Amino acid sequence: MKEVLRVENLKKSYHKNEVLKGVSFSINEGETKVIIGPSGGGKSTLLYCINYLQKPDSGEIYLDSELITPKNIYEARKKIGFVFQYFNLFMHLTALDNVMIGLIKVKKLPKDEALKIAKESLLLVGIKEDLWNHYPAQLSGGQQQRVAIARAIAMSPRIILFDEPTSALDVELIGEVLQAMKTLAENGMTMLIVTHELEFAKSVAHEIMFLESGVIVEKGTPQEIIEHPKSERLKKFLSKIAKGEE
Amino acid sequence: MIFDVSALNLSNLIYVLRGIFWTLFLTFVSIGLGLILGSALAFGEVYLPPPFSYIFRIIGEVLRGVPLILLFLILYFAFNLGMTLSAILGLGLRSASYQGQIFRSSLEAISAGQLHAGLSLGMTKFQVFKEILVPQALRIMIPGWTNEFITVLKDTSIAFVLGVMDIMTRADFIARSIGRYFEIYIFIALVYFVLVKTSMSILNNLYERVRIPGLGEKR
Repeated sequence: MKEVLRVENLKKSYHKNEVLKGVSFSINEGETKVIIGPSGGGKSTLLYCINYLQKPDSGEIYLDSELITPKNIYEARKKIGFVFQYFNLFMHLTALDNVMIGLIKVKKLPKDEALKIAKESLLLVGIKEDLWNHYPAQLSGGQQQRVAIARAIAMSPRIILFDEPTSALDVELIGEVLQAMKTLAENGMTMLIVTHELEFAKSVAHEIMFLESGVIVEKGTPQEIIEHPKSERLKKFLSKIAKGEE
Repeated sequence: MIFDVSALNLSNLIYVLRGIFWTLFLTFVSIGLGLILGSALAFGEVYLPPPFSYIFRIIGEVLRGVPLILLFLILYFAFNLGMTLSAILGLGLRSASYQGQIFRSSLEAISAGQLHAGLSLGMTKFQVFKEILVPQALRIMIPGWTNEFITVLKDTSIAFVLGVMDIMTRADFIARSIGRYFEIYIFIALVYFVLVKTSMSILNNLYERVRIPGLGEKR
């Protein structure tokens, strides 16, 4: 299987606080990997470092075996989709234009081609035609997040990073977003997902990594991680999640 | 107090109204100058690293702290700039300090998350600025900017101390020469009111036309 992303010994500090203490892992084509762990454990920082929205202090990131550097980062970002916790749709653009802007301004596609791809992407995440001309403020959180997912997939990235995509949503809206992500997984999209949704992780993840205090404490299949955790820290974290404390 | 309508005869009114050219000229040139310098102040304050951003902030604060009339007199007497130039620079610099504030708060109203989203699509920083920041900031700033526009429009009257022949100076001149202040002042008050109302309705119209639901509005 072809390797899409490899992270080696990634480190990142803020002031004197070391958030990532040397994280390494890799993802193959078509795989879905999930990162779980307590808040402040470095999960979001890890994702932000992968596409240099935050600059790593040291370590290497390879995309399709090519080292990502500050020089080629703009090229690399075109191939790395990112879905944010708070959706981050462009507030002055309609749902359709949110999906098209990257195709037109970054990929320089002609407008009709961009329109076609944007429509397909929106339909794939279940955003139907009646919502295409709505502005973000006119959409529910779940709809906004699905548009954000469509914006990412329209660029046909090699991998999509999800940063707690459902944690800002009302409970009744979580399902539709997870369903859209499931569809992507079934279509063979390579995904790296930070989430607290363990049931979802169980059903789509090839591997779950437990990140705490800047290190990957434990990793394995969903069965191993959720049903048979080895480390005390993971056991403690899982019981906290079960009680709804995380 | 008797309102003597005969003071408002046609020749007097025409004499006063010819000052509208200077009133509007000063307004537009100063607002334009203020827009250019104000955006520079805003960018300096928001995007430059600390020692430099402070300089821009201090310039803005000093300009906001000086009474306009004093700014006129300093430019005219201390810098020997001449009547028109002192009026334009005085109004323009003061407006720059306020427009800078308006533009800065508009830029800051746009979430950092949207900038991250733009970058994550592979946009350059300039593209993010041009495609995401500016179109939103311009819309968000229109209401505040409308207020600034009418402030400048009305404050052109203070250039009267420099002798610029705007409607205020001309009105004052006529009033003195015929000895009727009340009628003439009421008349130009009306003229200012009409100018202000017209500008406001044009700018509000513009705002309604480019407004986007949810943008710049508190939820």
